[in-house]
Amino acid sequence: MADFGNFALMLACALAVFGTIASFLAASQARERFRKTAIRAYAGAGLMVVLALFSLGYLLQTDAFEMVYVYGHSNHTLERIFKLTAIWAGSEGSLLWWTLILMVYTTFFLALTRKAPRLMTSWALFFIGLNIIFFLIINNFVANPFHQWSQATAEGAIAFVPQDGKGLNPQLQHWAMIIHPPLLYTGYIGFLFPFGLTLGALISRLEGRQWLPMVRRWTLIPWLILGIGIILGGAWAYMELGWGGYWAWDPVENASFMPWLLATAFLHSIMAQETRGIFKMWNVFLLAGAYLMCMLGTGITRSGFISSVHAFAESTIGWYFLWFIVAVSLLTLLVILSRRDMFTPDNAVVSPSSREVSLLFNNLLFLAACATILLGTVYPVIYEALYGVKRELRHGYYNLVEPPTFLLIVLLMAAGPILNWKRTSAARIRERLLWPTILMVGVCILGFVLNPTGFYSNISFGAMAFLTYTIVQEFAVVVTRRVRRAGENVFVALYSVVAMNKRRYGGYIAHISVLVIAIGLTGSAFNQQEKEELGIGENMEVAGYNFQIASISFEKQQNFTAMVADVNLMSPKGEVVRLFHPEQRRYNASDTQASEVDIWSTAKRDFYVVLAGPGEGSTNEHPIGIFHVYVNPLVVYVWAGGILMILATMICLLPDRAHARARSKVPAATQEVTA
Amino acid sequence: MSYKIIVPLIFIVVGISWLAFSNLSNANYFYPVNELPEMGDKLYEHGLRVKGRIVAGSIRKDPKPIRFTIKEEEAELEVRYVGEEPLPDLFKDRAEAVVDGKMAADGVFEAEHLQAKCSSKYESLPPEASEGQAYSAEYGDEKIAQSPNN
Repeated sequence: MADFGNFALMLACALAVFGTIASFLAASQARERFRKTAIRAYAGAGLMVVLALFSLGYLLQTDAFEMVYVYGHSNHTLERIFKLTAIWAGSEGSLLWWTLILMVYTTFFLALTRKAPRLMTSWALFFIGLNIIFFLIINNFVANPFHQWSQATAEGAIAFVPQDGKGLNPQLQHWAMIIHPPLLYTGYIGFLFPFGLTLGALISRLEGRQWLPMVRRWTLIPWLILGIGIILGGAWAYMELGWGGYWAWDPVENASFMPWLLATAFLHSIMAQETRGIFKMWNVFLLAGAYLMCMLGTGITRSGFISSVHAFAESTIGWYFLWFIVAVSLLTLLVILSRRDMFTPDNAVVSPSSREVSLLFNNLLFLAACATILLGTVYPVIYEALYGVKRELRHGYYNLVEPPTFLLIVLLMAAGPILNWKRTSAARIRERLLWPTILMVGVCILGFVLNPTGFYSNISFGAMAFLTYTIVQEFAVVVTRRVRRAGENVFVALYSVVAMNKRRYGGYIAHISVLVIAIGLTGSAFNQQEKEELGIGENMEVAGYNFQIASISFEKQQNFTAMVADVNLMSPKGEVVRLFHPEQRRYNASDTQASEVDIWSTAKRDFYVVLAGPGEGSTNEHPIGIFHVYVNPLVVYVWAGGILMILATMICLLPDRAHARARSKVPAATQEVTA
Repeated sequence: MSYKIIVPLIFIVVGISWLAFSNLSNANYFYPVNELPEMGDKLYEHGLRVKGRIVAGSIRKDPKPIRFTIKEEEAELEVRYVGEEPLPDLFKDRAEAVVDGKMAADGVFEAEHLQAKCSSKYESLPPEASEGQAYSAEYGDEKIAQSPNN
């Protein structure tokens, strides 16, 4: 079976090379026959990858511990579902899984772009093919999952079959960890497609309206998926790891955030290109940057260049990714240079009070956020190259540099939508922004009165008040006008307003979701925690709340033993408000421990209780536990905002009836209903 | 483009750049244990981040504070954990650990912050494997050899 899998991989690689050559010929010669050949070759490669993955899955299910990968990530007692998910638990398996997602995504791409301009999609297919070849080379020669144990004896090497495997890291035995890697991979992979389309559009010299809407939709989908993956990673860390936080500015976390930032900038900047024919160079750089950041991120995760709690132990694989990034960058520059005549802007940017300028500042700020995070992430490598000594940044760097940048973005989120293209009159600016500004200043002052030391949190609340007012105002103006004119009630009017311009109002709802997340993030400035060693009946106080230890006991389950506690949150009157049941488990197979945190989320704050293990002098008759209790305000809004962002993006993706109508007969001038 | 656009633009670029570069000093020197002696006296002046593998059996949870030893290529360092956060779940014998803190005058490292990583999958061989034998993972003609113990 391992031989079968390995053979399938090699065949996939050969077919991918063949298919890429065919797609290059199809695009450069504009021959339909070559295109069909290329598609068939890719389909064949895809089938081979499925078979290779099937054989890896089979080896895992049948406990084939002579396979190094199976030994390293599974054992006899592992549940069936985790034997399945172990496929992507380790480097080799996850890279094979990556290639599968790539092939599936390509299939969807081919199906959904059947009606798009042929030459552009043929060129896109070529660039996609280069990517597929790269990953299949990695799968075959750099991170092959089909390696087997062997033992050197006097007669030569013989096969060696361990009795049992090492088991799966218990932290990965969680629903969020099953979804988080595949989601992130899909997000990373997804940016390849709009990137390919952009290069294809440039090479085939397409007019903006023929490809811009398409590229935007093909970017929106991986943007959404990557965003969900990032939030899910944070949610998992919060629920599972027991340190009370959800983001640590770890290089691998940053690696997922940076492409998302560039893609967000792109999704906004593309409006300027669609409406005014400007920012053409910006947009190519932003999209190429997003795609290359994904490759960089994947390389960082797997290379060990930069130390991280997430990083795998590989070392040579990083170089492959680096060279691939360099090659693709050069290729992109080549395309840009050969088509530089297509980058002349259709209009000039004149007035500072225009939507164009706000989008320019938007691009700049997102780029600055990405650049400062990148600087922090690769700083150890640069420092070592320059001074021969390694230095690593503490959280302080990120926590001092990023908030101002993001606060400016929040303000821009509020001011941008009210600006008109070309020029906004001073009267309109005053009309729309005067009261929000007054509110912002008021909230800031109130904040400083109540909490003089919280500089950033007060400014944050002010900026968020500014944003809230402008968004509510946007909806209120349009909805009341509709209620008056069409006589609908408020809710129907609201629905109609959103339905008739899903892109715009979906965008506003997405801004609301960012606002909600920002509220959640600002709450973290007010986190409080305490740690104490307590026996049964004792209590501790955190942020004015009283926690009492009701019981501590020990449990034994099939694959783990646990120290378990019952902790009561007591009201001031002495009644039990809530029971917490934290555990500290020790898994038999891997001899690792995992804390089962108990969290109570309320609208105002999270209560987060951790039992870290036995305390000093703990015995079975008189157990003492080490308890960490965190009181974290407003965390629930981070997750709620994430869910709202998904809904908002779905709204944006639904087609407009007006848009559909326009494709038939209605001339462009009568479409827009100006708000 | 008018000066009203360029000036704020430059302001923002310069402002954020200044912010970033001035905070780059918010860093720790990062060393594996075996490179620490090279630092000499500077060892006691700066915040440090040290990485090494936790020596099997060296973790002592009683009396507090928790103490353990980390090692990289024959050099060892004793660590005392004075931080507030719970021990990371992966914190056990032979795990790769990264500690942030500073060197105390008594030669023990005072760690404010701990991180632990999964042990590398090639590091511990199957238990049936006997010591002194050479084991490797290979497929076909390609050999990846690794040492039997670590």
